[in-house]
Amino acid sequence: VSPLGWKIAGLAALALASALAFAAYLSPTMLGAFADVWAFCVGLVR
Amino acid sequence: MTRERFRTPLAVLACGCLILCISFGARAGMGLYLQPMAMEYGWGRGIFSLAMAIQNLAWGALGPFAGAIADRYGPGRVLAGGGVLYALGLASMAWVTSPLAMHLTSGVLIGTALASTSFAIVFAVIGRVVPPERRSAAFGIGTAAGSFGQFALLPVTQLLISRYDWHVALVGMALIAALIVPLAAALAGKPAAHAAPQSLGESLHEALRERGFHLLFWGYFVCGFHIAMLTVHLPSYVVDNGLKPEHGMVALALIGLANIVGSFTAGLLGGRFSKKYLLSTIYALRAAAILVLISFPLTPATLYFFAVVIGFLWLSTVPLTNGLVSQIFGLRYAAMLAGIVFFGHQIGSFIGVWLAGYLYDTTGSYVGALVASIGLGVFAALVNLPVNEKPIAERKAAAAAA
Repeated sequence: VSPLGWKIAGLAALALASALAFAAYLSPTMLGAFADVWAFCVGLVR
Repeated sequence: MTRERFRTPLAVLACGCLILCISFGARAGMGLYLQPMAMEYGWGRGIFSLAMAIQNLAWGALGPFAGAIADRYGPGRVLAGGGVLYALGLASMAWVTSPLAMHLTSGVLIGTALASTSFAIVFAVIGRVVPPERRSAAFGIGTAAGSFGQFALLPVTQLLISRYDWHVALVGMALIAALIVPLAAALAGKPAAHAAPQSLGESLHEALRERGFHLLFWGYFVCGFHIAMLTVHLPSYVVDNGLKPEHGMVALALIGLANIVGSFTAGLLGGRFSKKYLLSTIYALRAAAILVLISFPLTPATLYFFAVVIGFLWLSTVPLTNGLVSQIFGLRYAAMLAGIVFFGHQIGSFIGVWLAGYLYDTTGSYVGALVASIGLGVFAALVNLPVNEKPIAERKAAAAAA
């Protein structure tokens, strides 16, 4: 594989990993966890 | 006439527009002080640049707090306080002699003032006095006023610097910024507590669980990335491609002019069509415009064409994004929630300016940064599509009825 081919493959893998991470971040479980961590922090401050 | 009768929707809209005009106009002239200050004190440009970076980050990071205070104690007080801080920051900047003082005045004070006097706070009040069907158009008028302020106060700043000196110019702009304080009286008053039986914390908890809130945040991140990167680096890109610096200045002026029309038009369209589809179209068109810019040889004609197109799309995201936040989450905590989404914009601004400079230093070209801008434009066009535009209150009512 040429160096350019490796670069393209690397960028494609990076794009795929980013898309998967972004989709996981937007899942109801993760968003619920975000909101609950916020509620926990507010509870600590109070 | 009682104070409440004086606060008609037209008076609120007019005073809100004037506040945005002053707030954005005074900030737009900041770059004009760079050379005279650096020459007088023998500073490198890094000191001024760091102060501007602090200003932008303070503006974004303190926006949610200014919004939360406005939602709880009334936006008039926040706007008046912001006006005082703005005047103090500009006036004290005229007498700074050390880099630390520069970072505190121009960076922290003016950054805090911007967080207290910009779109999120003003739109929260306008949104409450204007009927829902005209809200988007009113936000468009407000955004156009801010854009006009950048266009109108820039020559005033330049005139004061060239006729007198930069110290006098800063004091003059401080006096103009102080006008925000009396104007804030028209936007005083707390939002009705019965409008949402929620606490501020509950409202934020609800927003964080909503996917659309995160998607709007990341869409606005891309908006900040594009705007800040092009504002800072477009003049250099123009010169690198064999055109004169004057062409870059004309391009920025055209962007400013088209921006006034674009933001007003976007507001009008937002009242008739789905805001998320309009946002998606704007980001897709931005990506297409940047693709055209790098695909054809740069001539004055292609540059000016690009400037008009990108200028039309410049702040047109503002009335639509703020309108969607109000539409989905209601108006009770609109200032805070819009402030959080705007923080995404400011993070994008910071990364856009830095990344373009970094890629230029490492590759010797802006092409990498522009390609990244195209990719991010496509990303923003896609992430706006799944946003559920239906108000959460309606969704809850429907669920309760079912």
